[in-house]
Parts: sequence; structure tokens; C-alpha cells
Amino acid sequence: MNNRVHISDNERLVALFGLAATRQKSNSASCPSDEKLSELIDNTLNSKQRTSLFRHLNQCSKCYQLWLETTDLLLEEKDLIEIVNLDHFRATAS
Amino acid sequence: MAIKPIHIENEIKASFNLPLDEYDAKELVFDQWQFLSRLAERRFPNDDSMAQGALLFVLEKLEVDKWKRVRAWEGQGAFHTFLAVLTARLMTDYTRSKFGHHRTPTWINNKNDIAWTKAYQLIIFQNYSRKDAIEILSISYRGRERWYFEEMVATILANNNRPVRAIESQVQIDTIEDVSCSFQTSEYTEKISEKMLLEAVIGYLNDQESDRSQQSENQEIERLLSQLSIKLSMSEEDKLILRMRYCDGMSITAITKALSLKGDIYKRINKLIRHLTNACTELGVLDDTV
Repeated sequence: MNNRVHISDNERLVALFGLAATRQKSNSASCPSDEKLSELIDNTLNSKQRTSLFRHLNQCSKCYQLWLETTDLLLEEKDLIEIVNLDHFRATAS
Repeated sequence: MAIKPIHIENEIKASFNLPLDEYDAKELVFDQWQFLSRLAERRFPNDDSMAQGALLFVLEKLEVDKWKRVRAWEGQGAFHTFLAVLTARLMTDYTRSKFGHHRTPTWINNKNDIAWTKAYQLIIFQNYSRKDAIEILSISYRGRERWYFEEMVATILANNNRPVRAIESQVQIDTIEDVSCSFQTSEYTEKISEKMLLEAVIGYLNDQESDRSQQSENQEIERLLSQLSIKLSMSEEDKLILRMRYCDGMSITAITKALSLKGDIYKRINKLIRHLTNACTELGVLDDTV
């Protein structure tokens, strides 16, 4: 079974071209703190801070991978938390 | 259950004085022990010994200097997520301490992606079959799509010329070469082979160094990229979406959740791809027929 049904080869190539063309040099001197990354994951930053962190993630592979790794690990956890929050909301409401 | 939903997070901030002292930091970490265990199990699925080892390593490192890393929490974000970032960082350190940097080839390290390192370890060090390695990677990184791991494993095997342990007739592999097979070049880029073009772009994205024989071709590609950059207009969020989708093989659902996006992401990606395709066509990098 071929699982690459959603992505065509040309699509991928133009995307990679676009990313390579707009790539800026990394600036690892200004890596965000772990807490700032956690705020990004929780979506509690304002728009300006968010854009600034996105810019950094696009430039710094180490931070991008840490963010991606944590996000991956938390994907299922977030679903669990939503269930717990919903249960709490229902219990409070009743 | 040790999950900390929003109301508990608010209680944490209300009941602990910030900055945390060493006792509060310790209490908070042990309060999240089950959560940390789940993260370790998710990070090292089907390998209890690695998961346990990683968990102990994380605890040991968090404890250093009177829980200094934990005391750095200022209460701006959720403690739960902050601890997950710390743990992810330390579990990567654990993997490196276990297998060492020197044993993983440079081209894998240059990818700066822990999934590649893990794939390499599974296949080369732990002798997993191709099929099992793909399964474990798919479980470990649920946000990414299966084809991404199939390509990854195929690339590692192709670069190591190593016999595979098990019979793998059930899994079809799309190799990296296949990615560029339908890419049509114009006269402008005819001299650059399709495979080389793709490799150079990926290498450029990953900061890989090229050898002397590749430099002239890479200069040509860099000239193209420079011309293309003038024609492109993408936000930082757009770039991140494209990177997650096309470099890291993440599913639309995972991207939407990771970036807390709203609206139709398929439409947004299609619009971006159209924009990029038009720019590439105008520049002569792609044929009109593509």
C-alpha cells in the first residue's frame, strides 16, 4: 500500500524549493527558554511573540526539533487533558 | 491519574511561591511522575528497559543543583508543558549518551532530527527489521505519516548496504529517488539531474556541506533559489507548515494541533503550493506542463 496519496512528488519539490529559497541563516544566540517553548506549545503567546518564535524555529534546527519532539510527545496527552477538563466541566456544571 | 488539566494548573500557580524553592520543585516533579513515565514509554515504545533508563536519567538530571532546571519555571506557561519540554530535551541527551554521537554517521546527525537518529539506531544498532522499524517509528512519532518513515528506513538501508533481517514482502518502499521521478525540468535546469537537485535542496535546508565536485552545481542551485526568493511571499507560520508537512511528513491533523491553527488547512497548503508552483514556473525551474 502506498501511503503517500496526499502528497505528490512535484508538490513536495516546490515546497522544498520554496523553503530553501526563503531560508534565513540561523541565529542560535537567541534560542528561546524552555518555558517560552512551552508557552508556544500551549498557545498562550501573543501574535507578535508567536511570530518571533516561529521565525526562530524556521532558522534554528535544534529548537525546531525540540519543539517538534515535545509536540509529538504531547499529542496524545493533550487529548487526555481535554477529556479530563470536559469531565471537570460537566462535574462543576451539574 | 497524574494529568494536570487547566484547573489543576491554576491551582499549582496559586499554591506555590515563585520562583520555586528546591522542595516545591521536587514535589512538583514527583507529582507528575506518571506523566513522565508516559512520555518515556511513548518515546521508547516496545522497549521498557530504554524507557525506564530514560526516566531515571531525566530524574537524575532534573535533581542536579537542587532542581535548578525545574526552579527556572517562572509560572508564565503551564508547568506540565514546561516539564515536557525539559523531559524531551533530556531524553534526547539520554539517547545520545547511550549510543554516542560518534557512532551515528554525519549525514544522519546533519539532519538534526531525532527521528532519523532513532531510525538509524533501530536498524543498525538494534537490528530491527525494516517492517518493525517502520512500525516502531510510526508509534513513536504519531504526528508523522507512514510514508515518511518508509522513505527514511529505505534511505538508511540504501546508505549502509546492510542485509535486512526479516522478509519484507508486505511493505512497499518509496525511495528518495522516486520523489523526483516525475519532476520535469526546463532547459534552464536540464544539466542538473533531478535526483541531484532534490538532494542539493534538502542538503541546503539541512546545512549539509558539499564536496568540491558538487559545488559548481550547488552554486547554480543557490542562484536559482536566490532568484526564487524575490518572487516569494510567505509568513513564518506558512514556512513552518510547509516544513512540518513536506520535510517532516506530519499529518494535517498533527500540524493543526501543534500550531493551534483554525480554518481549512488543506486549502491553505494548496494555496501555498500554487503560489510556489507559479513562482517556480515563471522562473523556468518548472515546465508549464507540470
